[in-house]
Amino acid sequence: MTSRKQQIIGNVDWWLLLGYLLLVFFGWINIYSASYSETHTSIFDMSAEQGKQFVWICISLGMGLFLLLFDARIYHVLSFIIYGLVMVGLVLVLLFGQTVAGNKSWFVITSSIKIQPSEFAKFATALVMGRIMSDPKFSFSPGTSLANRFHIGPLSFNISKNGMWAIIFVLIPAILILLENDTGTTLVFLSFFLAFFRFGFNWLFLITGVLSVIIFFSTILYPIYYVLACLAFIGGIALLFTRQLLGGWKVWLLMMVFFTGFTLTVKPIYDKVLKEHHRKRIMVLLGQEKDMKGSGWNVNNSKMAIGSGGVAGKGFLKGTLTKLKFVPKQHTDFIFSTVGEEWGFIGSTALVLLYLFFIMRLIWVSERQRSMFSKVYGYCLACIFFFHFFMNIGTAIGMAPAVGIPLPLVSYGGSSLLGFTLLIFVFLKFDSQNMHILR
Amino acid sequence: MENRKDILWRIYLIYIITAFFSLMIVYKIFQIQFVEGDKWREKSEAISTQLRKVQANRGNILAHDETFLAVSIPVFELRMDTKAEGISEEFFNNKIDSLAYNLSSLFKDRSGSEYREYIRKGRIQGNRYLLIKKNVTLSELKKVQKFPLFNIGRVEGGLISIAKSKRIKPYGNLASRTIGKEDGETQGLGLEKAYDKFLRGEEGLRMMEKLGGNLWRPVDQENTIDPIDGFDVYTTIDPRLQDVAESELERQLAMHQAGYGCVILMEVKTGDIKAIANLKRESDGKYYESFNYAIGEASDPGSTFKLATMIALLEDKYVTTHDKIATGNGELIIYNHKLTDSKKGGHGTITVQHAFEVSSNVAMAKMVLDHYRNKPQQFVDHLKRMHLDRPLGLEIPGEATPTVKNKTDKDWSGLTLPMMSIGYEILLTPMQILTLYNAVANNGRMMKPRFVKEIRNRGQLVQSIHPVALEEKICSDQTLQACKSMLEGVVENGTAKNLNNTVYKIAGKTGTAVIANNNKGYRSPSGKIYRASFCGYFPADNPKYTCMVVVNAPSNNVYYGNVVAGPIFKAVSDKVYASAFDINQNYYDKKRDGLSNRIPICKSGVQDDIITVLNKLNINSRRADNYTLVHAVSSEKQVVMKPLTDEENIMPDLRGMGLKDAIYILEKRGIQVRIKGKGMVRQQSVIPGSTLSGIAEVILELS
Repeated sequence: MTSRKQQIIGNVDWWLLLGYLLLVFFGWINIYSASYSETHTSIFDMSAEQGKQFVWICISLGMGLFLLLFDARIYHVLSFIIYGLVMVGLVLVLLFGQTVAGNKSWFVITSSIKIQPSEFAKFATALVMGRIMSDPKFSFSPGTSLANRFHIGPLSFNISKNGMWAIIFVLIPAILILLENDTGTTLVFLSFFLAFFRFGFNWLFLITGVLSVIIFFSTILYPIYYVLACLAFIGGIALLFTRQLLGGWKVWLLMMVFFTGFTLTVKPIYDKVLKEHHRKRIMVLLGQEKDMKGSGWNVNNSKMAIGSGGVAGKGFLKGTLTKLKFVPKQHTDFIFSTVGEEWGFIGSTALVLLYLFFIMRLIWVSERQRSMFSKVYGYCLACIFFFHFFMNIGTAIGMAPAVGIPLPLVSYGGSSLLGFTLLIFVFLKFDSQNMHILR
Repeated sequence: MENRKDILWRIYLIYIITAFFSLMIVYKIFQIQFVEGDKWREKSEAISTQLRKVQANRGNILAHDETFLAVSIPVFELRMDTKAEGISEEFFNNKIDSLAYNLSSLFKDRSGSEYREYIRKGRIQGNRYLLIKKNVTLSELKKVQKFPLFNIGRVEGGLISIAKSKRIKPYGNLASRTIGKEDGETQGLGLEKAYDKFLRGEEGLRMMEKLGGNLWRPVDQENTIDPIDGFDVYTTIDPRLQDVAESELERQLAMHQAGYGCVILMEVKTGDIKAIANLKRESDGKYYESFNYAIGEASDPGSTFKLATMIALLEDKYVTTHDKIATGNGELIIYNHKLTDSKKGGHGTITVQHAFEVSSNVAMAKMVLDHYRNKPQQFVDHLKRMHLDRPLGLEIPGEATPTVKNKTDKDWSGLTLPMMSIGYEILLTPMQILTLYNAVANNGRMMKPRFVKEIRNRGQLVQSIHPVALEEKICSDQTLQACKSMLEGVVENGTAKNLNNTVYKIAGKTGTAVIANNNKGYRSPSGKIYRASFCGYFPADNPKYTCMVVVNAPSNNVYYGNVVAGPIFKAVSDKVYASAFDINQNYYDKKRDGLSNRIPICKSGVQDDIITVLNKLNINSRRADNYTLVHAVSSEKQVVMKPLTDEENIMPDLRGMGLKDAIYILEKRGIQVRIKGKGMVRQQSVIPGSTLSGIAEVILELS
């Protein structure tokens, strides 16, 4: 028994566990503050959010402990089955789910217990990525190993069959969740591509992606000929270094055609495909529109709460705007505004640094994994976590569009907390068994 | 190793990306909190205080006798600033026990120790707006203000009371649907809704500070702008008659297991609605005012409508009441549709008057067919002249729109005319039928039903709502005379004989309609549904009141108007007759004749007051100059004032004086008064004229 116990507890990465507990606890007291009202004064009040969150925390910790008891190898075996089940869940929720706040992504069990399968899709997808990419023959680029080609500047837009599969397995849940009208969670699946990057994903794809985003916003903001002129200028410079960077004029031509085409199609897509509220959010984010009633209103109020916090904040339970319930969804999507108001610059910076530490620690621990399966999984986890963290806080401070995704471990919500606990504790278990797993 | 180098490069890039984005976040937070900090702080402070609306006291709704039908009473929400200036730690600890004990024994909702712990906890948390109790009455508030801790003053003691108001109906359910209710802008019912603009008053403004959720605390004691109280609405409803109507309706509905019914009582001359009761059986088997059937439901009126048919026929001089009409065996076949009279075998050949009295369907249909077959629109136009084709334009919301078909309408058929003549294929509300009967009682002048007489602001008249005539004359006097005689005949010789009595005469008409069972048509599988009604006025010789009774879906197989609706009418009219001064005027007039020449007995008291009253009553009096207090002595022709002593030290003669004056006189002389009995002073313990020195108390016996 001792050896088994040692195996469970002794090998757990204490830094990650500590970070997890700190985030969960800090989240809980901020939910308490955001939901505090005259009639719900106790932090254990089961009829208020803080009390419910406490229950979810207990359940999560119980589940975490339970997960640590399982042999981690089971996930390797079951990864496709888990993935399949979750995808079935996503389809079912589309057919029979309930719509909460515009997203048809909930199974309602009782009025207070609702389950969102999309929270578990991240876990399932991360497992499957580990499974696919741990195949010794796996490579993103076709034919030969990636190594030699990088320095020669070899890259074409080809991708291996395996690589295609990895992308498809990411896209399936992303599309299903998009159909649920949950844009925020769909975007989370973009974070897998960042993880792919670590495993040799063609960097031109990433560059293309980033450039596309820049072109997208520029096209909305500036006249189209201006964007095309800039593109031509960059293209001209790139042409000088074509051989070194792109490995041939064919690639250059391909990219130029793509970007020109993209520039020309963005505006129609923006006008026709995106919905009114999306457009509004984008315009507000770009500072083009002051929408003090809709999406911009939330962000404005959130910034007001954070801005009024000052250096050290107004103190726990003393946030007047928090008390006013002034910021909508303050215990979920805008929990960071409570932190900003009550804990000030010191508290919010500390929270950001805690997240940064946690994410870097995840990457560090991933790197020390001997098994490719858990390494890939760890990276996926770190990138999902990072994406959530950046988008959520970015929204609260007006840096990112309001897509409505929770701050991991801190925001109120059972599905989200359980989902992240599952992701993290499975990884903790992988790590604790690191020495037992053969490469 | 190239491979390793490539991977390392990628790992570092990922580290850099995460760090870079995190630092961007920190930078942005820095910018919001420091660079833009002042702007945000200023904005946030502007938000926590606000000028908030203060509700005005809603005006009252009063009955005809000026008792309250709906009234707003003040209630208070009690809160405590636990950190108020006057509460030192020591003072708090000294007083908290007795405060908690007092609160507990007043409200009895928490024990003393619960109150103590609650307040103590609030103080530890620094709550400056701790909720003590909601819905506290004014007298309770007065008591709480005297409790220890709070009794040192509002600012020092920390007691905060927020005035709210609560709407109550002192008569409970009585006429509750007509009184109605008011919820916000769009909803609302009855008079509350109809007169909302008067009742509502004007909101004031008060500077408030937001504490959380929807909780606002007044910043200071005063309103920035005081609210203006709403006006009072004086209705025509007589609660006494309303009570009779409602209880009698309920009794009859229960007896016949009927679905629902209504009673309306209207004053003939003015159209004033004295009582309006609507009751419906709910799933628990009891009856509630849940829908205003009297005005809200237009349906086939049935036989009560025959009055309109007769008016048309008489106006066109197609018939007289003495004409004979052959009703045969009581059956008439029109386009394969069989019309029957309720009497098996029929009435044979009878006069038109009698045909009306026995409510012969055959006679009505025949007469109308004979005279209007080729010009049906002429018949319809008569109905329009009686204002039956359009709503009455009541102030109360929810009046149903009547339907009277025109010849040109698509659904006009060969059957329409005869069916209309007996009150089918036409939709009217009970209130409309009542208004028609009232017009007959009122010599042809059709009055608009009036619910409200006056709007007053603290007793001052703001607006009078005068009786309105919808039609000055619905038909000729000759026709009216004939109609009255027929309506009286119904009670004397016809279908409503059971209402006949020797004390006063009732004129009216029964109605028994088969009504459509929702969508299933007139013949539903579950059997026919009947509507029994009676509409009439009394006393028939000099009509004062008109009354309409409708009982819907009596399910005990007794459905004739005279049996089901008649008794309700009779109960209401009996009560009105027995108690209404104006109807029994003859009786009083006779009595007064005997008394009119006599000089009344008059209480002693202040001379000016007595003479003022006597002058008003045209009674002669003789003044006793230079005296304030007098004895009033009645003689044959006048009241003579006999002076009472004004001297401070002499006991005056108080006999014959009212208690108020007697006490005033004695207490002015510094003497305590003890009283026995009530009425005028009969005996006094100190003899008139004796000196008062040394006397502390006088006993007065009254009778």
